[in-house]
Amino acid sequence: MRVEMDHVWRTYRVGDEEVVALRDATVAIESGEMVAVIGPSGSGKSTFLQLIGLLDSPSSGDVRFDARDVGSLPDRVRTQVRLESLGFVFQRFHLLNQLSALENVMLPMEAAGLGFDERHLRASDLLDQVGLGDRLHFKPAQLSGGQRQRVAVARAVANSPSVLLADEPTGELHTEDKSRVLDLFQTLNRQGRTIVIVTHDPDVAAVAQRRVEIRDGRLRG
Amino acid sequence: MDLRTLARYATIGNVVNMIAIGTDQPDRVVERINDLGSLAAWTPAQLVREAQQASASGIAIDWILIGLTLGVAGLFVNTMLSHSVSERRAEFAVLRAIGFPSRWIVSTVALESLSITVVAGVIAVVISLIFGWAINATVAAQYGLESLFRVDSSLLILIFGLAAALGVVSGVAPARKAASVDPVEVLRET
Repeated sequence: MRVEMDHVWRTYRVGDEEVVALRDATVAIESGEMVAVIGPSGSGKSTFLQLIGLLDSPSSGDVRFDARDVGSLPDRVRTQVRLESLGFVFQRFHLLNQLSALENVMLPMEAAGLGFDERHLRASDLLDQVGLGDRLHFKPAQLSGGQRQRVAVARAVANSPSVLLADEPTGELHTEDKSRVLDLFQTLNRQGRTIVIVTHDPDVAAVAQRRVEIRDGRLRG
Repeated sequence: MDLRTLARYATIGNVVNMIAIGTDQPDRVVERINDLGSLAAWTPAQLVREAQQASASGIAIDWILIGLTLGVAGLFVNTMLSHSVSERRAEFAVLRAIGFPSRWIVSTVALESLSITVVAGVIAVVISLIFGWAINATVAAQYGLESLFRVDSSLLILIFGLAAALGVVSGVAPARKAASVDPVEVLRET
């Protein structure tokens, strides 16, 4: 899926002051591309990801998926697009602690209305693919950071989204875990998924085919 | 004859405090007895009317107490769920980000509320049945009665209905609060 931003601005009002998080951002991410969005803290990287992840709406400008304007859709429709087309990986994993690894991965499929047996089978298979086939019933607290992030990746691709969005996915991982998670992203990209990774880690940026830099809310590259 | 005279002749001491009189002219008999001054007399119709009034005021007090209890229980469930929703903001934010619709989150929280009150209703009924059984086994026998407590199935259905309604009403505000979680804001914080 081709993801585009066309002259997107995102501004917030903090008290009487207007804060510009993203300025006139125009970028196109081709289908199957792996892009690293780099920049210092507070530069607007997360805002960028939230806008193409349809978690936020632009103040002006368009966000398009395969030429369809999705940025200004009503919340209900954006939620449906997120469910069908997007997968999220967060820095702090954001797994549900009371659920097992298997149940966490089954969640997006439940939202998509799949039956229990199919959810169970697909989640088991996905966890097997990320090397956690022997940890299906472990709770997040019983897993290492790297294992948790691999569960989060499995959850993100549970509904076979065409775009995977990751916000500092290796920010809390040790070198070995970081390497395994990056391998996973590369494998998913080779399978044809569009991947957008927000990071300030040069190692992560190095595995991407293209880098987009954000500074003070402005896109470069 | 007044009661003191009757008690003396019949050697009944203070045991008897109510005497039923069979008559074709109850109004006239009541008038005559009341004239004696030491007894109070009622016709059957007056007795039924007074019993109905006493029963009606008793029922009204019961419903006021039930209403107060339900109000307090509803506030408790509402407060508890609101607290729980506040603590689970990150969870709801993740669910929203994944693609769970708002209505799914609303119905999940409402279902939690419903479950709490229905389970509480079941526990309350079980406790009532145990107390009722204990009262029948001990107190009823002292009055020479077979039972003082009788299971009323329509009342039980009403209790579960009220519990379910209470659950839905108390869960509305927390459910809406959960569904209105902004994933961007919460995921930035956590």
